[in-house]
Amino acid sequence: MGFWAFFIIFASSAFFLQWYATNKALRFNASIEEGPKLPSLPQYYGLFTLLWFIIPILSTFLIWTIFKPFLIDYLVIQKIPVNLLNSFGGNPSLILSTIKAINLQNIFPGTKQELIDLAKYMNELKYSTSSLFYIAILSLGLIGSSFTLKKISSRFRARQSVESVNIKLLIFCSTIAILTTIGIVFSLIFEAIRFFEQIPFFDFLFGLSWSPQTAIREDQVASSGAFGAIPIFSGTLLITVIAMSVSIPVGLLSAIYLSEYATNNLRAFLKPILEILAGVPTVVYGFFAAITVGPFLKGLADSFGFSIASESAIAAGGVMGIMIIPFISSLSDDVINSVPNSLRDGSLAMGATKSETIKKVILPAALPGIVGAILLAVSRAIGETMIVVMAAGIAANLTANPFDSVTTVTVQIVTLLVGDQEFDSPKTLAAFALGITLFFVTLVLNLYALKIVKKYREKYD
Amino acid sequence: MTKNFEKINDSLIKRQRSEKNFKLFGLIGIICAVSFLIIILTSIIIEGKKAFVSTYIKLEVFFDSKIIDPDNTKEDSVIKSANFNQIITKSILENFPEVTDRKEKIKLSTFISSSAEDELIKLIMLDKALIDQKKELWLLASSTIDVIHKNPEMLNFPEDERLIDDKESKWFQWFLSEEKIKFSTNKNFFSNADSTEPEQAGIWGAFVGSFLTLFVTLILSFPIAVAAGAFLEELAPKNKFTDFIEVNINNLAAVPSIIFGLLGLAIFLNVMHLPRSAPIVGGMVLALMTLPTIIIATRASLRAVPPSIREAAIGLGATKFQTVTHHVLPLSMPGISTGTIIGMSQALGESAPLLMIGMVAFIVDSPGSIFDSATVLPVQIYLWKSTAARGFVELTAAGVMVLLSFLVLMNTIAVYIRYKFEKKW
Amino acid sequence: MQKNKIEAKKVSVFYNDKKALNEITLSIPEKRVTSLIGPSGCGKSTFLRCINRMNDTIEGCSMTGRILIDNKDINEKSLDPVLLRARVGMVFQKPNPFPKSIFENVAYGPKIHGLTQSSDELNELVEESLKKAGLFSEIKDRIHEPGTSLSGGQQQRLCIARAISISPEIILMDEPCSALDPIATAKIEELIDELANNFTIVIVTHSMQQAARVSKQTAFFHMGNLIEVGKTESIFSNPSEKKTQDYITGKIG
Repeated sequence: MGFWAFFIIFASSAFFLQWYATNKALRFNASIEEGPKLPSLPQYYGLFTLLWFIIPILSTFLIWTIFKPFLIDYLVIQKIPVNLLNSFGGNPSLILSTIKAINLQNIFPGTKQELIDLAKYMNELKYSTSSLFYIAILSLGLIGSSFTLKKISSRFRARQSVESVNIKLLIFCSTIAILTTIGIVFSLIFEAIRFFEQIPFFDFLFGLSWSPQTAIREDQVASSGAFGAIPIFSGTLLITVIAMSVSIPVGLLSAIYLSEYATNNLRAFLKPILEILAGVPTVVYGFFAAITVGPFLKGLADSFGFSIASESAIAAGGVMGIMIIPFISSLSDDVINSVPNSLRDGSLAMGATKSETIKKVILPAALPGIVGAILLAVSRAIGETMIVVMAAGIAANLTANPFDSVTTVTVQIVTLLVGDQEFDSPKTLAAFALGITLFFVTLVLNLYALKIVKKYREKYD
Repeated sequence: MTKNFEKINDSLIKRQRSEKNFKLFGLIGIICAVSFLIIILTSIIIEGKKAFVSTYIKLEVFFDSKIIDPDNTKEDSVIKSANFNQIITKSILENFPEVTDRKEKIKLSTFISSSAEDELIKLIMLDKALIDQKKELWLLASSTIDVIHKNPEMLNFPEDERLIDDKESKWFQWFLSEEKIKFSTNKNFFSNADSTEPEQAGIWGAFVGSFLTLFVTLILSFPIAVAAGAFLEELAPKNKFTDFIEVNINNLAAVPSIIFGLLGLAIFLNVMHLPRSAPIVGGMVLALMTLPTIIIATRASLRAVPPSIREAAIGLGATKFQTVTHHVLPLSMPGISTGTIIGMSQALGESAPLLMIGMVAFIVDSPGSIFDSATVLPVQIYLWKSTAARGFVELTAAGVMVLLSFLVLMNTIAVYIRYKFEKKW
Repeated sequence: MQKNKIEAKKVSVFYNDKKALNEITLSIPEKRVTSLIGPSGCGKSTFLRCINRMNDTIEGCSMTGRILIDNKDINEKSLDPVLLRARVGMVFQKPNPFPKSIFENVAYGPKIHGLTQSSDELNELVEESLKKAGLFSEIKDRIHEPGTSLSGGQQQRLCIARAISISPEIILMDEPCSALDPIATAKIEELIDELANNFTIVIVTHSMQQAARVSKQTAFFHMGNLIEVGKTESIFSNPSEKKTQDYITGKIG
């Protein structure tokens, strides 16, 4: 039985069962002359049956999908003859990957017959078990629903049961957010630990040299110090600083102008335009930085006699700054607006000019909120990928010169993982180590920033 | 009193000047931001609009039967496998009888795109009577010629920067002077998938990939997010656990997108062995990213519904669950839809997490299902930008224009829905 | 002859198209306390805000007519509102100290107008203003603590100290005691009495009793119109307009 056959049977049974149960409930009600009828509306009995058909089937299906590959791997490994195992150095996972790479439609000439047999066996396992499985879970579902059909009586409150099942489903949906966070932390930590088994933690965190080209053969060890992440951190820092030095002045000044000086009409017109900057995909910014800004700056420098990299930090950082402007301007605008008018009035009534009021009363009052906005923007800059992948360099370079080419954490993660790598090599695992560093830094920044903004809002609301 | 007055008067001029300057700085800030936007859009449009036309060269093609069907079998398979390249080369060389050197002949033959062969095969298949006939045809030029044609200033560059050498430049200019070269709409851009040749590359494959991926994202994220949002806002008790969920959601909304890619790589690909580079995986990753956006939008829309509606429903004996599903949720649908569309448009523009799950492969066919290898629009743009061939630059810009148009469309729909359907309580 | 510090001539104020004040003509004598009374929304605060051109900060608000201070039109193009507001101080209904220290609150005015040359001068000026506002003795040990840490009555006195720190000629008070308890109110009324020796004070008040207590001249507003103006005693004991009579006896308002 293929997947689609299963699905059609599943769907039609579901409809049928629900209709049948509802009908049964209706007939039950009609058959009672005196005495209590069903406590809930008939449709709830139908829904109840439906739920207890669908939920067991779907959950078992999900679990099976996750565990099936492991089960099949295990069964195939049991079947590997010992001499074959030894010829592969005693490593079953290598044999498995070779087997999986065999295309039974188009067998590469010269492949060992034993491997072909194992591949055929694996294939068989995959497809035959599916059939059995589908039949099994459909029967499970039918058994489940037959119990529910029996329950239709005047003592069974279907609506409450249905609602409680529904609420549990809702709770489950809500916890997906937590599951995701756990998933992220777990998967990152797991792989990062495997990395730190090979490369010492402090070498990574404080090492000054980053060149992750490891040897091809497994038994060669990477030269120590080649995974020192400091140049990458400094590259990220440099580009972030450049980005902030573009976005903070422009964003803050725009926010001040919009909230204090612009007329309502002008504000209604300009605010959405700034929002557009936030909606442009980062790949577009990356393209702009690489194709237009980089060469432009290089040409400009050349005409003055300097020579700068075409993938300079200032090109990538500058364009990233443009992307971040709306973060700062939008949040600052909200923050400035929430400063109570009574403070403005108090200052103006003293004979202060508008700019004095802004500089000496409003901005100091709004400062915590603005700092929170800046922290969130910094977190965004650190985690930004596409702009730097397209416009910044790949070679790690420990420098403070904005005209040099540097690389960032996100660029390295992409470079290390895009392409065909053996998944276990330190090279690819390094990406996870970088990933978890990135996650924690942005997490701390975000939590801290949100706390500041929340505290600030409480002061004025 | 007057002493004060004088002092105040004195400082006034300076203060007013500083006021004017401050206001000016604010204005400059806004002008900078708006001009950045304009510069970005203009530079993209200038480069991108070139991609919507292609260069065609007029040649007199002789369908020599000695090349197409020497044994006169009239079999389709023989005709289809004939060396049409030779026919094309001969047609070009006819215009330049002085060219005898083999290397130069090859250079000339590269003026025409390799896809022209398929065009000729199609023509013959439709009308076999063309064999041994001569016909004047406009054939698609190769990317190099296309680039020169669109950027004529390159003819003045020194030879090593120019893409074509001096001889080729002379031949090109001959075609120009004979008016045997023209622009026509680029038929490949919207109908073809990716290709190694810029003149044949199109965004259709990426378009289908984006569509399938967003489809998966939508059906996964929308129900779960609305359910979670409704639960958290209306039905959940206020305790530490639900607070923790909220913190998680707010935090996930700010996690860098590449981390979601790593999650997808580690779990969906390596643990669950889902097909690499398929829309289903991409959709799942993007769904996780979009969940917080839709949850937050759902909660905001639910909050905007006045309590009187809920009170009325409960007063009639509805359970809390029924109140939410029958009354409150339908009323907040406009706001939820707007939030969803905005979330989808953000997902459409995402590329970093999809790079992690392998959507960087070179895909020549458009995907047939959500389990086939695919790529999406923003990743296609990234791939084209990374390619060395000069002809891809305008394609990348054109791809950007298509992507931006979709985003504008989606956001306009969202704004329209908000405007038309949102009730002012 | 009692000089008139402020003269309003046929002043009308519009919020977009809605008329809030209708051709008010009123004279305010110098170095006296004048109170403006009337029911809610009758335009008293709007009128008050015309005198220091605070209505300019409200979008959509426009004024016709003239207001003269010391016989000079304050709406003349060449007159900088900043200068005007240095001469006309304002105390608001709800105390609004800046989120700065007590010292910085009072020092704000002198600093921006450049009134003092040295920090010693500034210290003196702040101390003097706080003394005049009757607040110094209570806070002299914590003068660098935030202004917002004071009680409501103390905050209002801080705002008064802030207003008088730049020695304005006129002080406008918009229901200064409505957010305060009776004891704080009494203290402020005492203060107003003292200040009247040196400043021209215009006070908007909801409480007729307060108007009777502090002011020499009272003006009664109703629905954007000035109904009656005159000596406080006569307004309350023997009003000439029926509307005034109705308000005082509680029939309207």
